This record gives sequence, C-alpha cells and structure tokens, in this order.
Amino acid sequence: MAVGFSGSNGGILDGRKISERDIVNRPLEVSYFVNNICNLRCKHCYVGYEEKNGALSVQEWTKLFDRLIDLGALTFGNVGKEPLLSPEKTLDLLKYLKQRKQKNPRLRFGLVTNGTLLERSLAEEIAGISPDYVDVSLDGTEKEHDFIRGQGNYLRTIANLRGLPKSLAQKVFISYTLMKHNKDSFGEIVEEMSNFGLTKFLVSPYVPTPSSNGSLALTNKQTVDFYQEIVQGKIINFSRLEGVEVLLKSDYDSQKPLIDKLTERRVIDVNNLLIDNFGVIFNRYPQSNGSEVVVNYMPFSETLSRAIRISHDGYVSGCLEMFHKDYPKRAKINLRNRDISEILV
Amino acid sequence: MALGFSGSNGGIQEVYRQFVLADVDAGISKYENLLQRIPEEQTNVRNFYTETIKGLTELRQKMSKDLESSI
Repeated sequence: MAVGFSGSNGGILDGRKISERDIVNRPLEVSYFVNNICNLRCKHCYVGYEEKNGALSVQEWTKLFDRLIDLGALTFGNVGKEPLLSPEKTLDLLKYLKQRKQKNPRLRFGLVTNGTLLERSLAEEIAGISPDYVDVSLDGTEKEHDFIRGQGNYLRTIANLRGLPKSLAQKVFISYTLMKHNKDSFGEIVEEMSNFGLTKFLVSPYVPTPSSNGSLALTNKQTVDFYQEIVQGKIINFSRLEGVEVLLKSDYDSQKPLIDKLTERRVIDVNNLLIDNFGVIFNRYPQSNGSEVVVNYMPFSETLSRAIRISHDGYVSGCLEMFHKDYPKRAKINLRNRDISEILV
Repeated sequence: MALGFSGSNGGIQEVYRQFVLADVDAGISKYENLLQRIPEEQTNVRNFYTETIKGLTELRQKMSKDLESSI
C-alpha cells in the first residue's frame, strides 16, 4: 500500500529491533526494459542506448525473474522506452509476476508508461492483472507537456487517464519530471488530476545527460526551494483536496549535491527519517485532509546493491551507463550468458 | 523516458519505523566488516563498500550535529 493510506500511523516505532539487516540486506528493486523502442521523442529522454533488436523472450525474462526472486528481489518495474509498444510481452510478464506474488505476497510489481497507448481495452486488461502501481508521465500543462513530448501527446495521455477503470486509477502515480518550464504548473496539475480520482504524484528533478537537453534543468537551489514550498503546502492547496500523496525523489548517483542541499535546508530532516518495510528511507510531512508529502532519501548509491536495471537485451548496469550509445561496453554483464549474482554487491 | 531511477515503485509501504543513528552505526560496522573480507582485486565491490561507508559516515556526522545543536 502506498503513501497516505496509513492515515495517522506515521512516525510510530513498531518495536522491531534495529538491525543491520535493514540497511545492508535490503530487497532488490529491478527495472526491466521490456523493449528499447518508443513512440515519442522527448527532449528529456536519458536513454542514449539505441539498439532495438535482440530483446529477451518472455521465457528468458521469467527465468530471470525466478533467479532474482531467489536472490531476494521484491520489486519489479516493467519499463522500456515505452513498454506498451510491446503489449503482449508486457501483459505476459505482469501476469507472471502476479502468479509469483500469489506465493510471495510481499512481491510488488508495476508498469512505467507515457500513457499515450493506455487505451481503455488495454487498461482493462492491466486492471485485471492488478499490478501494485502504474506510473504515467505527465510533464505539466498541455503546452509544457507537448513542448517536451510532442504535439498532441498531452491530450492523448489525458484522454486515457480519464478513461481508466477505477481500480487502476487508484494505483496510478502521475510521474512529473521537474524542469524549468513546468515547475510553476505542478499545483495546477495536482488539482486537475485529483478531479479524475488520480491522487498520487511522483516528482523527479530532471537530470541532464549526454543525449538530452541540459537547458531544461533547474538549479539545485531552485529544486530545493520547490521541494521546500511543497512540504510547506505553498504550491498545492491541500485544503481543497483529499488524500493526495506527493513523493519527492532524488537520485544519489546523479544528484548527490542536491541531496546535500536538501539536508542543509532541512527539507530532508536526518533526525526524523523513517524506513518502510522495503528499506526505503524518507521523511513524511502530513498535510491537511489526509494528504501527505514524502521526501525520499538515500545516504549512498543503491546501484547494484539494491537497484538494478536490465536492458531489453539482457545487459545489466546502473541507470547512468544507459545514457551512452556504447552501453553494452559500459554494462557489467549480459544475463544471457552470466549470472546476476556475479555483480551484486 | 526521464530519469527517476525506478519510478515510484508503488510509493512508500505501510509498515515503517524511525530510522535512527543506531541503524547508521550498524550499517557502517557491517560494511567495514564486509570490506575487510573482499580481496583487493575485486575493486568494484571494494569501491562500493568504501563509498557506502563514506556516505553513512557523512550521514552520521549530520545526525550527531543536529542532535548536539538541539540539546
């Protein structure tokens, strides 16, 4: 269950003995690229790796999932450049993870999509599988979103969001990549989406990469100001909304200076950190009407210890290596001929 | 896709507790022990453990500093 559903339970010690297990042996999070193709050409896309062929089959993926679950993986994110361009494979893999979840209820699995292809019939199929979450990208108002993602794509995504079955809408996180041109629209987007019953929001600051447009990025100071204002309830009028969850993220590997600034400014309050049962460390800031803001925090890199990313053709590495065209050379191993345990730290 | 590592992962889960200095100390201690057992040639793993200890030590300093200033 995600942020906010636990109501006023926040901040309670559960009495469990503090253990090194929490910080050393936290369960693996796996992002798997079901394909390396996309119907959009976003200005902020970080994927520099261009190979489209050689995708793992459903059988190869499921065998790999079994191995990862044996090694303690509990979170599986079905990503891609755009996973819904491979709907059958995506559905098959989600169904497989659903089966595995029946044996291991702690397992969680989801889907990350740009939402343009999430039409009603496909959304109903996905709702039938009941993933734990679906991240749908929305980068501002129509003008702002389409500036990044191409003309007409805002309306396509919005139409699909409005048509979602209720059971799926409840699991949607609106994934907002925070940039210079869209930071002032976030409050408006939260209100608008809440009217459709979409109440979960994920904010990730844009990180420039060799293949994307660096001028879109906010400075660290601007991002810290934005996060602080969200936490203080200045950007979203929570009194007009109910049960809204806002998750503010930062990535240690690419944004360590930002994390340092967030702690300096006490947006990340190191003496009031909480940890969930998946090892996620965070601050929780309750707002009015059952809403809350959560600021995610990691004091060190998680790549290859907790977080792994697998390309469509079986290469494994961290996220940053995927910025580059020569990703296979930078990747650690290919899982077609090596075992994942060789590189986990 | 835009960078955000693994996306929401479904957000924060229901069961949680405070993350305190003892967690950080336990983490530092564990990684120091692990580091001692890793052969020199396994540089990737050694670097990871070293960086992790550094990150946790930084966090420890921040937490201690805040505790001192609040007394």
